[in-house]
Amino acid sequence: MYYVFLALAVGLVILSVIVFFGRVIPGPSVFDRLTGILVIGTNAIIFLLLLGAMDERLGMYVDMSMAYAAIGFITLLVLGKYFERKGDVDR
Amino acid sequence: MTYLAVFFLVAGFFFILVGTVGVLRLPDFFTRMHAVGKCDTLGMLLCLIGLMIYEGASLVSLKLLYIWVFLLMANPTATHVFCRAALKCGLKPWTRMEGQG
Amino acid sequence: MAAKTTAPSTHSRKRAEIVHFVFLTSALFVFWFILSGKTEARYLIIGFVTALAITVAARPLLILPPDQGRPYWLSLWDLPWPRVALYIPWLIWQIIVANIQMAMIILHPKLPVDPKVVQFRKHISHPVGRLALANSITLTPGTITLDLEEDGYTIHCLQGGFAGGVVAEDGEGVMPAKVGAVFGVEPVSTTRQD
Repeated sequence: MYYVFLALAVGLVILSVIVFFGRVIPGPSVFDRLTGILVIGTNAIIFLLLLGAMDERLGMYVDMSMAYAAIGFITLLVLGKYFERKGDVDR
Repeated sequence: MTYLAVFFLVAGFFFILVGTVGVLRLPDFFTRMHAVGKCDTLGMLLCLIGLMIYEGASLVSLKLLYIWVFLLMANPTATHVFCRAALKCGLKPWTRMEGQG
Repeated sequence: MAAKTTAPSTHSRKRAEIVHFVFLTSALFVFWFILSGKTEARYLIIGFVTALAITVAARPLLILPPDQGRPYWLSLWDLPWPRVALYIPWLIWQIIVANIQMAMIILHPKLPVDPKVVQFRKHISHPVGRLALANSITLTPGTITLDLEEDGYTIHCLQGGFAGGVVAEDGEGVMPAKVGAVFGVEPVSTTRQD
């Protein structure tokens, strides 16, 4: 029962990521795209952890998601700073 | 204990879905950031609490706690960086008056 | 807290530097231990050497821009930790309230949003206090921080009514007062309501 629930949850996270691609691709400004990428990154962390829980090897997946969280955060900070200096909203 | 974990996971997914719907429905960038900065953060934190309860007291749940604290600080900071960059680039906040006229 | 407002002396600078060094090294070592989970002496020695090397390498990064004419260290050890520990449960409760309100707004068929931008000023001497105030505003009902310049905060409110949480008509709102009380403000620049 718990596995069925976890599988449903993974499906839900994938659905959320797909919906967010609907915001990343047409997004009117570059910051909408960045927001979409931020949320996709955080959903990917949850996705990895759920896969680990399904696999009964959460210890391995939790390391990956830690690295993903740190790298994704720093990447987005750098991108935000870059576009702030560039000042081009419409791309 | 499993039921408590499932409760937290369900609550987390509810808020993640609310954040997703909000990003699709809200009219402009700054209002979308409300949905991202709040709903998504809480959704993720609740999911992590659910996984921590499921895992029990171990080194893995300590690592999950580290991710929890990191996301609690990192997500609002990223939101703030984007908002500030958008404001500096001259993105005007949407208002009800302009929307009607 | 008090050491920061008094006149600088080389002795206290030196002491702050040493405390910083020990604090950061031990924090990094504990972090290594959580990540590796091994208790053999070889791994512990590798971890300790790594923590020491990172502390030495990252030393110039943690000197902050001068406040009142002198540089100072990013100092986590002189935070008022008991008050911070009391503040966190209140913040989590506010986050839950904020999310339920947000869910009601987003799932409402008419989407009742009426955005408004407000500004206020608040001086908090500790940089971690400023970070905490900006992040708390982002996480609590209907408001996000758009910009933070020195002491001036620019806040975006989802509905006009939410502005009351951060700026009141006479004085300051609940959130700046609360964070200011936790992290300590210099009495000259506060604008208390009572």
